[in-house]
Amino acid sequence: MKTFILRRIVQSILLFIGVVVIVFFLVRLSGDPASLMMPREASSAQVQAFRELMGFDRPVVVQLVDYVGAIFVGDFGESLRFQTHSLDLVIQRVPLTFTLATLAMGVAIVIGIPLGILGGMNAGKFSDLLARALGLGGQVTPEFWLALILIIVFAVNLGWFPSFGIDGPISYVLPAAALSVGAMGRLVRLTRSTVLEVVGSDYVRTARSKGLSGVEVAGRHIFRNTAIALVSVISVQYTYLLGGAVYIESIFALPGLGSLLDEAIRARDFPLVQTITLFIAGAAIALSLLADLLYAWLDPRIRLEN
Amino acid sequence: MITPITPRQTARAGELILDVVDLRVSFDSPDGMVHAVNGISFELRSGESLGVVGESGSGKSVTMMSLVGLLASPPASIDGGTAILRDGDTAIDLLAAGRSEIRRIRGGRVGFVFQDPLSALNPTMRVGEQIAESVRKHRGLEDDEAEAETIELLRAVGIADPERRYRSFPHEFSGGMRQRVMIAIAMAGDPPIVIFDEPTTALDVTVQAQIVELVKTRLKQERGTAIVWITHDLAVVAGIADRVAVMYGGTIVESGPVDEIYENPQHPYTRGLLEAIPSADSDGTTRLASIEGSPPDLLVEPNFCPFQPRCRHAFDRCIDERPLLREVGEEHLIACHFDIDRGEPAR
Amino acid sequence: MPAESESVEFGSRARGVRKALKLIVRDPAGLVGLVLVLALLIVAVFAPQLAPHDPLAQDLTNAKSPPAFSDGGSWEYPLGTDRLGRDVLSRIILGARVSVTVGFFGAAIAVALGMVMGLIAGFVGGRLDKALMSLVDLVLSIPYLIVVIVVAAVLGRSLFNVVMLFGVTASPLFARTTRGEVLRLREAGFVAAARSTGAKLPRILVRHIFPNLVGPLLTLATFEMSAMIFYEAGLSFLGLSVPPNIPSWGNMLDSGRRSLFTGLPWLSIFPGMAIALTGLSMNLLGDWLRDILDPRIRRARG
Repeated sequence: MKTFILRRIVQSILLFIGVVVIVFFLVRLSGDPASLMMPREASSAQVQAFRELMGFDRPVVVQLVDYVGAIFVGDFGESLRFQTHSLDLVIQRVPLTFTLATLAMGVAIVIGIPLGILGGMNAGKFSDLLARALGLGGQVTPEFWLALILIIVFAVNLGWFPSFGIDGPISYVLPAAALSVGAMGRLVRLTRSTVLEVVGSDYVRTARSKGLSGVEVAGRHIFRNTAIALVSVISVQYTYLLGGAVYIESIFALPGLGSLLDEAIRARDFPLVQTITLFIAGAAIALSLLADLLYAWLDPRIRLEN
Repeated sequence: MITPITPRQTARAGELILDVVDLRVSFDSPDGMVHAVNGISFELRSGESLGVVGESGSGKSVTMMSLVGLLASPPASIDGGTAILRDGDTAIDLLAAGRSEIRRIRGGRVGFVFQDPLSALNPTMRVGEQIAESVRKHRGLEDDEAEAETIELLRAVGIADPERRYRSFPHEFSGGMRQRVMIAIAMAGDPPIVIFDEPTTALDVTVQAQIVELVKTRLKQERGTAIVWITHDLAVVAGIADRVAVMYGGTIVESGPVDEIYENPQHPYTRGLLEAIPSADSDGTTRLASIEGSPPDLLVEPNFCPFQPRCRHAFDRCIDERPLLREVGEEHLIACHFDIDRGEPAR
Repeated sequence: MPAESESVEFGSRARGVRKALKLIVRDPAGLVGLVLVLALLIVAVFAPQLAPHDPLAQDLTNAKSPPAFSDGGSWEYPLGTDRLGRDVLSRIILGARVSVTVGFFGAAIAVALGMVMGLIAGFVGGRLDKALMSLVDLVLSIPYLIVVIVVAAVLGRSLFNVVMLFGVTASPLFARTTRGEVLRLREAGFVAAARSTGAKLPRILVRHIFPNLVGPLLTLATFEMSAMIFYEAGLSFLGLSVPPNIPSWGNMLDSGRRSLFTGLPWLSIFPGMAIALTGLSMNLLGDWLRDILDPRIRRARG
């Protein structure tokens, strides 16, 4: 288990370095980062001055090494628009996005997993059909569309919830609801297929052959094995939520990382864009690492590997 | 310390404990209805070992699993028949029993040992706990006593250092040890019948022999347990069975005492099987005998002899009429229209 | 009994077709999906003919009219008009072109690229395989939406860019699937067996590898097409996909959002329904394809 932990951590660090390299090149995809970041009306002299200022005229390799080195010292560069350290801006916005994503994940879990279990345990019957329909419905509904619909119905017409800004915890209800739908749908489907697999497994058959009741089989054999498999599923869904937050925050005018990314892109503030991307990717990698470690601890086949 | 033999109040040795009559099971599949079991009848007596031999698709596993309701109910359906289990003074039709009755019987009256012990054991639950589950359920023991009893069971099936091994997980064991654990699970409720479904197919030959020996000693001799041993391997059956039933296409085509079957097989299929066993003292130049043709199509309802397409003795009656079991010797039955010794259709 | 591995040879295709027909009867949802997807394709191809009005034509006298079934609306503009008097229905029809183009060509590129990568990784093996798969893992570790948004922002607004973007970023999934199939067939001995009869690599590819790839890749392509249409709508919504003069469902939703508080809800409702309906039908179709194209059938225990 110890070697596994070590290996996984090293892998994550290498992965992050790889992501830094990718992010570095992403901004250079169209060729010239200077003209990308300058407004369209800028003259070529202004663009050249900018290029020299940012060091974009140096050889690419030099720029890359410089960039990676800076990241590891914690220097993520300055936002062009806000003229402050981009990392500071990012960190300021993190709590809101984190809260929103966690709330949405919570809703998705509380509704999605029981539905998926219901479907898996009653395969072929009406409750299964219902679960599958809801799962599919959740999956194909665009979050940004649902957000607009929710605003129209609950904010504009009924006036129960605010439609933008932060006005206390009530402001999180509609955003979290809209964000959770996709994850909920996927969770229903994935939970259902996991349960189906477990229910059809040989060891569940053995458990039944011992004369255990349905409840005993479910509680002692099905539940634990399903929960272990769901750990990675949930972590993957959380990273999806981090992406979906971009839409939701911008629609509801919530000051989080997602809306910051949207603003940064509109302002062509690519140093900030890079930092936000690195942060979110880093969070995704860390989450995946945590999920793997948790899984390794729960599954005795990995925990006791010598 | 070996658990003493419990004299069972349920039946004296030799008494009939399981009586299956005309069992029919079918499956609803995307290609149509599969007639897996077509009118099987057999008896099992207390303390006796019945070997059930057949190729895959012959219906042997389905038959046994349907007795305790272990088949997934769509797509499987039990279309007919009775399976009377005698339990002391009472008799129950397993196929008509209610859910709580079946649960009592599973593990308590009929134990099961499955083929692949790695997938048949819960990978995230300790081995001892998986055995103790059954001990608690059927023997009514509390946690400490159940644990002690489980440790004794582990010892009885030949697992060394059982106190430590109680807390092991299945993947920490070898294949043979895992199968011993499965046997301990089956023994946990002290049932009068244990059904083994191809228990040694996934193990290598030396381990196979050890398992057979274990079952013979601990279950058959010490506890007088009745055994049903399902296999496709005729050689293994000879080592453990008192009686043998040969299955083909969802029906029993021959049954009788083991010596009779081996020395005087009367059904063409049984003869084909026995001839196909390579001999240890052949010079390696003779061709392996095999049965021509391919397995039966179970989508068709068999109103004829299922073996007929592959049988060299087949004649018109075999296509028109399904042969029923008839006696050809002491307790020796075959389902065939042909008299193979005389080389002519039977009277 | 050890699990049986199967290779799909051309002969069993006929059986596959018969089974497909039987499965239509058993699974009507798949049929619904197929019909809807075909309808979508027809709408996209014949959009200019099908649209009742010119999607770009502005009719300010009829601007902001609601859909036909609410008061103030008329059947001339069945789904209403936007602030510039453009017919919503016609714009949705034309918007189908963007979605279908992105989905179809994006998936095609992803399949082609991914298949090549996967074949190379699977056959050559060794360090090249490890390198390619590490690259795949790397790309897949960044949340997809973020990658897509940033790249779209960098490349600039054009349909071509979006198609290429989705094609390239989705190819790792196809590479992985292809590589998996190749490895499975190698392990099951089909490749070695074919080689031992003297077959050369191209023949092995055609006779053994491709028939087994069609199923999984086609199924995956259907799901990926659905995902691409979904993500393209998201990009359009953020103003990062096609230029604003081309109507797409996503940018229609964006203008809908601007009219949220001015009482024009139909501008938001209908484009989103189009997206959801498209996703639904492609998912149903994908599920159905997965059922019929999977050659590994579990047999009833006997």
